Amino acid sequence: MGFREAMGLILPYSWKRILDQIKSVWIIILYLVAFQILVLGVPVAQASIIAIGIFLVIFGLAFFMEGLFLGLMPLGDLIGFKLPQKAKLPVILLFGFILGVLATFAEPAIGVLKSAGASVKAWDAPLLYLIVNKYSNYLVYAVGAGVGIAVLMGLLRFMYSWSLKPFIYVLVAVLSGLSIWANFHPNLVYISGLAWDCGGVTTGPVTVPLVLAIGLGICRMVGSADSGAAGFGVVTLASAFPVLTVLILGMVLMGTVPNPSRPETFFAPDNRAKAVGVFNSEEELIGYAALQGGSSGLDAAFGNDPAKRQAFLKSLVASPATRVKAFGTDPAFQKWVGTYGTPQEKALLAGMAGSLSGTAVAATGGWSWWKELIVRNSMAAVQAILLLMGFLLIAFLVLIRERLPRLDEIILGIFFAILGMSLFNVGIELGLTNLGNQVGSKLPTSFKSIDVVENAKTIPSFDPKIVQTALVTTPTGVAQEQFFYAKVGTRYQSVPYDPARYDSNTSTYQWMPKRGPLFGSEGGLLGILVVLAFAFVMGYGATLAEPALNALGITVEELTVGTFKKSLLMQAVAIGVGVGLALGVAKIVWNLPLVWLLVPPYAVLLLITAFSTEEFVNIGWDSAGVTTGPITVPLVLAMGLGISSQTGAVEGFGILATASVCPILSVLTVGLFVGRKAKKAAAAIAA
Amino acid sequence: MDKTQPLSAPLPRILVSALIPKSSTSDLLAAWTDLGLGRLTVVPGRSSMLQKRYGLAAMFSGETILAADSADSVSALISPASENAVMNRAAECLRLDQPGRGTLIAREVNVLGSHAACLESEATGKAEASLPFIADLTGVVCIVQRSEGDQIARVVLDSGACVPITNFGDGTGLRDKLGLLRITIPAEKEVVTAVVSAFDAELIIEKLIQAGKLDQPGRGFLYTFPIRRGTVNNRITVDGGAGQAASQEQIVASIDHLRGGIEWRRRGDGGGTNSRRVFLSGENLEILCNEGRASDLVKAAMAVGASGATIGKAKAPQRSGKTDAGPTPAREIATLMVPAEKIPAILGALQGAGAFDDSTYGMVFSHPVPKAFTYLPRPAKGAVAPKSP
Repeated sequence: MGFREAMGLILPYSWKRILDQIKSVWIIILYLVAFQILVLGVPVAQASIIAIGIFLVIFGLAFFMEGLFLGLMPLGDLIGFKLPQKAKLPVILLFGFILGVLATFAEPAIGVLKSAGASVKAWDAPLLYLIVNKYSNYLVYAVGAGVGIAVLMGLLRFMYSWSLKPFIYVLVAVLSGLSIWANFHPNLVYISGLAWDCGGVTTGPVTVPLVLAIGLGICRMVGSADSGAAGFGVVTLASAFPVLTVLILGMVLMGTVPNPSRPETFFAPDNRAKAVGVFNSEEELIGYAALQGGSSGLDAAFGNDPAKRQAFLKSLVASPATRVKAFGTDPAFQKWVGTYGTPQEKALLAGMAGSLSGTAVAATGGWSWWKELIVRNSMAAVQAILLLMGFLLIAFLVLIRERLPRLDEIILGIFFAILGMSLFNVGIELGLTNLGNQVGSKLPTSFKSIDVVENAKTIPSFDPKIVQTALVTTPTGVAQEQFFYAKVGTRYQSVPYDPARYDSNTSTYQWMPKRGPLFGSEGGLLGILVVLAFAFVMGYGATLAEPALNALGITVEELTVGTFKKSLLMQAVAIGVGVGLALGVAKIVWNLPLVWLLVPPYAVLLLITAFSTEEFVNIGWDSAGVTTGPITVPLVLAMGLGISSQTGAVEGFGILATASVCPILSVLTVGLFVGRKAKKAAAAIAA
Repeated sequence: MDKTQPLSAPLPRILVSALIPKSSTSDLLAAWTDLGLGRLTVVPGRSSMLQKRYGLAAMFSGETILAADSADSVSALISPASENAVMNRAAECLRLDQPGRGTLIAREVNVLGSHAACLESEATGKAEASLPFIADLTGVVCIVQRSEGDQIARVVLDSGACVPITNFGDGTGLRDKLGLLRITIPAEKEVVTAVVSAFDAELIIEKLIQAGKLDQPGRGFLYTFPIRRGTVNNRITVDGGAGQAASQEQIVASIDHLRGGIEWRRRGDGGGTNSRRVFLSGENLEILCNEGRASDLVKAAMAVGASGATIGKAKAPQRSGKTDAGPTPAREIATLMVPAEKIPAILGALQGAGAFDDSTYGMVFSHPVPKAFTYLPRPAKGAVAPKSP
C-alpha cells in the first residue's frame, strides 16, 4: 500500500479522534474565557501560551484515549479474562493488592493534595500540616494500602458475584460515623476533609480504565449471565477505602501533635516539645514561625527573648546547612532579614553577603523552561503508564504464560498513551491551569474587593501631605479613613491611602488598585451566587472533558449494547459534579463544616441505593470516583485557592469530596427514573 | 463419537432462539435447564421500540424516538424430537401468548462439527401448554457500522413488522490484511436481527438496503435465514394500548392466531422493489467457541477461501453446582457466509486450527442463506461477496 492510500486511511481516522476531543473540551475552555472577559471584565493574559496549551490538550487527549482503547484496556481485559483460568484465588487477590498499591504510586495525586493544603497553617491544624508536609510519604502509603485493599476486595467480589450494596452500606456507615466523631476532635476535624479528598483523587485516568477492563474480563469469565454491570465497583471501593486508611493514619498520629492554638501559644518555648514533632527539626519550626509570623513570630519562638533570637540568627549566618533547614533557601533568609530584621541583624547579614548563593530560576518562555516542562510531564506520563503496564505485562508472562494476541496493537497503544499523556499534561499546565488560575484569582472580585496585584503602580515622589481624611460611620461610632485624589484619564478619582505602602526613604507610594465587588455589596449574597453559578458550570464543563469518565461511559455503552448511552451518563455525572462544586465553594465561602455537607447526602444515597438496581448502583457509584480527574482537579484547586485565600478559610479541602458525592446522587436518580419508566412499560404489557 | 472430529455427516438440529427482555432471561434459563438442556447461549443486545413524544420534546427529537431496552438472545441447539417441548416451555415461561413479551423462533441447522461436550442438548422433560406458532416467517439480519444500527431498527419498526434486536460484533476481513494500519478502520459493527413475515420480507429488505445505503461500498451486509416456526414480538410502541380494552398489537396477535399465520397482514403489491438488485445466496457458517479463539479460527477459514466474518461475544451460563471441564462461560460466535462448495475445505481448516479441542470447545453449524445483499464492485453470478471490511 502506497503512502497516498495510507494517508487516505490515517487522516480521516485521526480527524475523527481529534474532533471527538474538541467536542469534549470546547465547553469548558470557551466558558472560562468568556467568563473572564465578559463577567469579570479582565483580559486573558498569556493568551498565546494558553492557546498552545489547549491545542496540546486536544491532541494529547486524542492520543491518550486511543492508547487506552488500543493498548491499555485490551491488555487489562485479557488479564482479567485469563486470570481466573490460570491462577488460584490467593494469587489473584495478591495481584489485585499489588495493582492497587502500584496505581497509587503510578499516579501520585499527592501533589494535588499538597497544593490544596498549601495554605494550611501549622498552628491552625497541626495534624493536617504534619500529614501534608513531613509525613506526606505516610499519606501516600496509607492511600496505597487503601487502594490495594479496595482492588483486592473488588476482585474477591467479582469471583463470588457479591453485590456491591453491602459494601456501600458498611463503608458509608463507618466513614460517616468516623467523620462525625472526628468533627468533635480539634485536630481530626481537619483530617476528614483531606481523607475524603484522597478518596476522590486516587483514581486517575490510567488506573480507572485499567481496573474497569480487568473487572470486565474477570466477570465475563466467572460472572453469572444476568448480572448487568458486572465488572464495575472497584472504583467505588478505591474511593472509599483510602478515606478509611487516611482517617486511621490521622488517629495514629493524633497523639504526637499539639492541639490547634494561636500562633503565639503554638510557637512558645513551653509548647516546643509537642510542636517540634510537626516539623523535621527545631530549626525548621523556628524558621516557619519567622516566615509565617514575621518579626513577632520569631520573637514568639524565643519567648520574646531578644538575646536568644539574635544568637539563633547568628548561628544561621555561620552555618549554611542550618540556614537551609530553617528557611529553605538563602534568598528566603536574606529577604526575611531584609524585611523584618533589626538594624543589628541586618548588619549580620552584610557580613555574610559573600557566602550567600542565589538560585537561578528559569525564565518563563525560555528554552530551558520549555525543556523542564516537557521532561517533567513526560516523566510523569512514563511513570504512570509504564509502571502499571509493566506490572501487567510481567503478570501476564508469569501467571498466564501465553502468546499475547495483537501485541503490535498493544505496544502501539502504550506508546500512544504515553505520548498523549505527556502532551496532555503539558497542555493542562500551559493552558487549563493557567486559565483556571487567572479566573480563580479574580473570581472573589464577584463578591468582595481584592487587590489587583498586576495593576500595581509605583508613584514616585509622593507627598503624604495630599492625603485627606474622611469620616466613616460604623455601627460602633465614627471612624476615620485616609485617601488622596489621583487623576486617572480625564477624571479625578479618590484612592484609599494605606500608610504601609508609603516608603519614606524613597518617598514612593505603592498604589494597589482594588477591584470589586462586581455584584451587590461587599460579601453580599448576589456576588456569592455568581461564584456558585460559576462553580456549577465549570464543574459541568470540566467533567464532560474528563478522559476517565469518557472511557467509563464508552465501557458502559459497550456493556449494555447501547441501552445506556454514554451521553446520558456523562450529562448526569456532569450535572452532579457541578452541584457538588457549588456546594464545596459554599463550604469555603461560608466556612461550613464539611461533615454537614457530606453526611446528609450520603444518608440520602444509602436510601436511594437500597431502591436502585445493582446495575445502576455499580455504575452510579463508580462514576463518582472518576469525576475528579486531570481536567477538573487543577481548575477546582485554582478556584478553591483563589477563594480561600480571600476568605481566610483554614483549609481548602472538601471541594473534591462534595464533587464526588453529588454525581452518585444524580446518576442513581436518573437510574430510578429510567427504571420507573421501564416498570410502567412492563405493567402496560401485563395489562 | 470422537470429540475432535468433524462429523462424518451433517447432523440436523433445531436452533431455538428467544429474543427477550433481559429481565426474563434468568426465568427462561431456569425453565430450559429444568427441561434438561445443558448448553445454552446468551448473547446480550438491545431491543428498540418507538416512543411517542409530546410538546416541546417532540419539537427537538421528532414525534417518535427510539427507546432502547436491554435484551438477550437466548438459544438452545436441540434435537428435532425435543423441539416441541423446548418451544412450548419457553412460550409458557415467558407468557408469549401475550404480545410484547418476546420473539421465539426455531430454525433448522446442520451441525458440521463439534467438540463432543458441546452437543448434548436433549430435552428430558415435557411442556404442558402448546401454543399455535406461526409459520411463514423469515429472519433478516443486517450488519452495519457501529451507531448505524438504530436507523436500521427504525425502518423495521416503521414497517410495523416486529421489535428488532441489536447486538454488537466485530468485523474481520479486509481490515486484517492491512497490518497495523488496520486500527484506522473501525471493526465495531452492529448486527440488527428482525423476524418478519415471509410475504413482507422482500419489501422490508428493499427498505433496509435503501436506509442503510447497502448498495454503496463499505456500508454493510444483509442476509436472510429461513425460520421453521415461531412467534413474533410485534409490540412496536412503548405506550401503545393505554386506555383501550385491547391494544392494536393484541388485536393483530389474535387475528394472527385465528388465521394461523400472518399472510393477511401482507402489504399488497410489494411495489418499490428494485428488480435489478443482484442478490447472493450461499450458506452461513456459525462457529461457537471459547472467547479469544474465534479470531484464529476465522483466520484459518479465510486462508481457505472464506471472505470475512463477524464475531460477537456470548455467554454460556454455567450449570450451578457443576464444575465440569467444559466450555468457559465466556464464548464467542463467529458468523461467516461462504459458498456451499467451500464448506469441506473450511471445516478441515477449522479442525486444523484446533476448533474442536479442549481449549476451544468449538461447534460449527450451518444454515442456508436464500438471499444476501451487499455492494458488489462487479456483479458476478454465484460469487459470494466479501463482507464489509
